[in-house]
Amino acid sequence: MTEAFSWMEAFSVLRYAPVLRGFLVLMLSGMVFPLVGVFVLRLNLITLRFALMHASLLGSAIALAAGINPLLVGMAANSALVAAIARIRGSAVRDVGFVTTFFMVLTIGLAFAIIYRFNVSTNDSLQILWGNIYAMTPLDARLTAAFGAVVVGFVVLRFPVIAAVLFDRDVAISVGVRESLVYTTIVLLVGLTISFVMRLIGALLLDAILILPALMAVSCARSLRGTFVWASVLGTVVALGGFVFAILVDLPVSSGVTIFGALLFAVVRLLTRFRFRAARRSIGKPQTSSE
Amino acid sequence: MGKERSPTGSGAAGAAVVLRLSRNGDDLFTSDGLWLHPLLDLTRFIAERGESAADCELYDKIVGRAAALLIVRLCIRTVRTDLLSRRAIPVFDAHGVAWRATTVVDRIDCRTEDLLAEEHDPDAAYRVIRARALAAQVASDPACRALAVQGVSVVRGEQTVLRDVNLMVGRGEKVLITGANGAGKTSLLKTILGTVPPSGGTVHIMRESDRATRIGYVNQESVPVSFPISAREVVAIGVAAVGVSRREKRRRVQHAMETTRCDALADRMYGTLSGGEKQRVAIARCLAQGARVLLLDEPTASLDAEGKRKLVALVERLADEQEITVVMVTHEFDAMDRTGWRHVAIADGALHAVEASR
Repeated sequence: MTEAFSWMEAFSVLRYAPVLRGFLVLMLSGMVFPLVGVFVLRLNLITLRFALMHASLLGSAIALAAGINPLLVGMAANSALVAAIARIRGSAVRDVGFVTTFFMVLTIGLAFAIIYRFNVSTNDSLQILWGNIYAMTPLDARLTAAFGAVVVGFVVLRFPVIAAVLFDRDVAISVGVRESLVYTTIVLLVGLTISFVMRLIGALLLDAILILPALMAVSCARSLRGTFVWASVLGTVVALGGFVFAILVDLPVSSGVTIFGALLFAVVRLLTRFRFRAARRSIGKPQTSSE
Repeated sequence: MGKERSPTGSGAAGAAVVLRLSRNGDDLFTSDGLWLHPLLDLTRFIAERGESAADCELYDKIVGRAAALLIVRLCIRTVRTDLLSRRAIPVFDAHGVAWRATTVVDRIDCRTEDLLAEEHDPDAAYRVIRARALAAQVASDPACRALAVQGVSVVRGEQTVLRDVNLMVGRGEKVLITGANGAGKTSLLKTILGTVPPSGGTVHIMRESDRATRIGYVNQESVPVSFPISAREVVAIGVAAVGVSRREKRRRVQHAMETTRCDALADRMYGTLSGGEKQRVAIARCLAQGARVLLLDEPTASLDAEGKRKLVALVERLADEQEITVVMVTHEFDAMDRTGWRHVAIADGALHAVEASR
């Protein structure tokens, strides 16, 4: 009875509009953004993800200095970076990694220069890094919902061409898929997702929502379609479990989500390792991998 | 079967019939074509009708060993000819074909006859003859070309990867491109595919429709074992950009997997398949796509000897039965039976013919 009471008390915070709004946006993010994490993993966009994070930081720093909405300016900064990368990828310059690294370093340097030069408060600066789900404005929430619908729609309606691009660039082109367009769309979605997730749980903890569920999904699924489904389900579990965990142990939600996500990741890895060993035993001989 | 004249001979009004297939005195097929074309046309005619010619009689003006092997392959049991090579007689005798000839000579002065002097397998002979016919047609008739690479050069940085490469490939022809690692084989395929732009020259691909590219590409895909995508999903990539209903897409995928005998692998993770299974799935993907030109980039690299043999057999079957053009690059060809393949080598970015089709 006492335990039930503490659960009820924990969720009683949802009576407050900013908390409820933050909770709903977190659930939606957990459900949708890991789909984008699958793109990041498969297309090896890790370096690009850092560049986009830094560009979003730059956008947020500019917004804080100018006193405008950090989410919108962060999205604009990331969109500009994606456009630049798409242009470079389409040109004769094939070494996108070199250019990405250049932007990664440049944007973070500019971000901290702006924070210093315009005397952005320490608290506001830290919010860029740590995020704050309770600071989501109604506009932020509506934008997140609309963007979530776009991501789900893209994955569901364009699944065949997405599968082709994720499988192999040359194969995608050979079957008539407009690979550059699909790739640019994917990178744009990654950039915008990073802006949303940074606003929600911050730059430092972004991977808990974006990457960890996708990483777990890859361990659990046996098909690409299954990977997207698993990523969405596990992302929701991470978001919900992290929120509850944060309230129960009195932590910031971003920390709670990240710690819970990391624990769940460890459990999933152990389970899949047991499953792999059981499969090996049933075969009766060691398997070789060509990876 | 209905009465028909072969396309080869129909244009020559009044020309003498050199080949006639008849049943109970009724002509089913006649031709006045040259060389072995009448028999190749007859092969196509019988395949299209899907009927047996075992109860038919064939008249062929001249029958050498090459013709005899083709006739045996068509299961024709009765043959009449004006001129018969002694090299053909053992073939007829071995397969129980009854023959009548006005004149019998020791040999016929024909390069193909000489090439097949020791050949006993009718299928192998068919592949050789068909390859020679295609090569001759491609050289003389642009309409027969599936692929034309003309004066293509590729420069990467300061290195010339391909230098003034010319390659004409006919419909249903099988071309083997060999060369050492780094010789430019993959660059050539990717230039044909369109992912590597040429610095000079042109690549022209036969298009059966405006929408589909119709080029199937089989490579050593960079999908890691750990990335989950099922074999069925890989085959479905072939229809990703095809504008047909989902039902039709599913049908095409299923049919392609059955054709390459990989339907049992449908729900398995692609990354966990063996090298041979992966290549069968990749070829099924190309079939689902409706590819008329197959570009194979080192498809046998990860296969054992038996796997290589099976893969080459599958590709040859598709080329022969569906008239799919095949361009395969490899650096492992010593153990490969190159019967029916045109073999060219690439070295220092230039292409050289190695040998005639055999």
